[in-house]
Amino acid sequence: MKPLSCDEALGGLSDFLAGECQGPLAARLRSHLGTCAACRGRAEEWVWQDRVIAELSGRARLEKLASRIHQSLESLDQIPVVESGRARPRPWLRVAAAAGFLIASCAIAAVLLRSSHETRVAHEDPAPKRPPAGASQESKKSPPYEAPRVPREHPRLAPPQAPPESPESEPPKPPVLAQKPPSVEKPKGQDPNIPVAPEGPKSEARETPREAPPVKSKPIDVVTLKTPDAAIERGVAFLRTKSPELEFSRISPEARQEELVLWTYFMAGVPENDPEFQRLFRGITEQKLERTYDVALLAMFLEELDRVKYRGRIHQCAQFLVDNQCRNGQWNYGAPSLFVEDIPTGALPTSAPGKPIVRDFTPPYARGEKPKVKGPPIPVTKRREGPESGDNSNSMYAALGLRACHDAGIAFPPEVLRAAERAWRESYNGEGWCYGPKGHGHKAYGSMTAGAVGSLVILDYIQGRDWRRDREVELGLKWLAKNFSVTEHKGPPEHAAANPTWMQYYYMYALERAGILYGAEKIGSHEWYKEGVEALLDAQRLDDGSWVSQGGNKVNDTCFAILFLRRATRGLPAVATK
Amino acid sequence: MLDNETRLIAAAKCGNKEAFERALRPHLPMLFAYSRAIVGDFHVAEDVVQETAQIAYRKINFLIPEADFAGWLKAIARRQALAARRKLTKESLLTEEVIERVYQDLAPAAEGSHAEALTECMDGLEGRAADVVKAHYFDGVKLSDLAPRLDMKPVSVRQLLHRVRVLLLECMRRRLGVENAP
Repeated sequence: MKPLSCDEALGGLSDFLAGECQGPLAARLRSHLGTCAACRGRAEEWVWQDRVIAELSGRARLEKLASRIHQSLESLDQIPVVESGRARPRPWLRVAAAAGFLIASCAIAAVLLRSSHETRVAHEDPAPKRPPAGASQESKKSPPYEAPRVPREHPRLAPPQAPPESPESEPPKPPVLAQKPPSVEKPKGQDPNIPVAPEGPKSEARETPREAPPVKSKPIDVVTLKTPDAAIERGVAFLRTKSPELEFSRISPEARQEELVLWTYFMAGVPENDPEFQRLFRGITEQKLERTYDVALLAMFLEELDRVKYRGRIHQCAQFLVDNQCRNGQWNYGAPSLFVEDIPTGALPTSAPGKPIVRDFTPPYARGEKPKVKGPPIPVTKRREGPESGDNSNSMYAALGLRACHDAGIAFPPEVLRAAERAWRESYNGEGWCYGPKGHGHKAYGSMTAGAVGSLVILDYIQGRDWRRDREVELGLKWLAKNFSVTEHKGPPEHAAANPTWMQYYYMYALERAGILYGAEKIGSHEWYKEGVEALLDAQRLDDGSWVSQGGNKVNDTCFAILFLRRATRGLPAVATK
Repeated sequence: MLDNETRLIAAAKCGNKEAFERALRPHLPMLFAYSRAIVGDFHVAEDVVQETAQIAYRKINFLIPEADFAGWLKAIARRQALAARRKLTKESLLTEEVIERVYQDLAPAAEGSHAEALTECMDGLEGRAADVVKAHYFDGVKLSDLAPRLDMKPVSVRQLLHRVRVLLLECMRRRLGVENAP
């Protein structure tokens, strides 16, 4: 293919903008623009020029356009946020649903009966009571901000354990309850109080539904179901019902839901050979990198899944994040970067029509550790300027993405890290953080302050500094301690002053990250995890297993709640104090 | 302005169509220009704007308070425009990144000193140059259809539009006394 000269390219560009250029010339033009900064600059000028003229044209036709829209809206109704008006199930579906519910009830009752029996055997207690949610952490008392710096073993990386012996042959094991890590850190999907089937390998037990032995009738005690793992299972079941809506076509300027749901599935222990897991995985690997939230979550997911195998894609995420950093060091919602396409992704799954993805589903965490990144770090350079300023919400997710890329062996330019750090420090408003950059003028509130703590810890960590000596981090934690709540989003948030639960679960996930990244089991005098678990278990909806807050939506809120319950954030390794 | 928009959106969420239309109206020129930049066709861009309005109205309850209304509308328009573009042609968008950069600021572009200078330069166009601008940008006539009207070959019309683009940019720079615009 013969390359175009700049004159030829500009002629072709003018035609293209007028909708008159297609075929081979367009391909040559695309190739030329990819390498010629001057022509890209001219393209930007002409697009701006076209914008001005087209807006003038739009103004001239405003009445006509408005009238046309008015007519088209006449017969339209709005879609309510709260689900309602769904088609009624057909009779046979209702019968099937009732039967399913009955079987599930019997199964749960059987498992509970069995669990109750085993607890009696273990404790020799004639009337045992299930410990309250989070009780397993009670023995681990930590002073404020002084929890051990050893990173917590990650739920996905828990080394495989031998299948438990038959309860009959096992001596009583109360010490296990006292010593084991928080129940949510157990391998996925297992209620600590519900024993795993003694027969068969563990992997099978994890990936197949628990079998329900025949059981005599026993009423289900809803209270006993209030454990983090049971809540997570119900939450995941709710997310699965939303599967048809996760089609990578949701209309939203801020983010898709697919990455967040997949990240939640992953952390909740949905097996990777699960069809829905695979569908979402295939989707996100084929999607263009477009939004800061999505890209950060994608980087986090791939880094946890297999940071060696997907290092190329993680490298692309890093390039996107660097190219989208705003001039003031923050991030906004982001826009695609051409320079991402220059980076080869390596072994990404392909999806030939009609053929499933060929992929090794041997999970790296089954080996008990994450794969080690070999070779020198891959440097990333900033190849374009971002917009003027962004916001602290996108910036906190960008920081999570930076951390994931860093852990996968990507080296960021020092100036990018310094600018990000500076933006966080400058947007501290004397109390904490709000949504906007420096001078935004709003009072501090929970999600942004927790996000600031987590982000500054990450930036300190990447730059090899001790975040426990970071003044702004300490100030943020003090604000969180003073305004601590797991039932309200304190502040109030700037967009919902009269609503104390606005985006409550978005805040809760930010709180979880702040606590774990800093390495604090307590914030002030509050055991944030224990209190948070209790609040979340109380708040889970009984009808469908979801969570929802004012201003949030069910899917996102359920994901945030599950991520909190699962303690999904990986702790940071200690950094030597300089 | 923003508070007014917030009030209108709140009313729209209660089913008030008139409030929705009033909130939408200031953004229509931007949506039209943005859609046209993506699809490259005047009339399809109008269709895209109409679809965008319909989707936005139906899904207005999903607009979170934190989200910017104009940005939300633009995101809807983007998806609709890209889908329309795929129907028109299999060509992927050549200048997507450029378009996104130009449309990052959603405030009206047809205001400000640069836009005023450009408007004055357009007013100074005469003859076929003025005809091609009016027909192409304001009446939505395709260049290939415009050729017989101007008694020109299609390739000549395309070249003329190219020259007009260059002229307008140079004219604007002269008026502003700057090297780079905007």
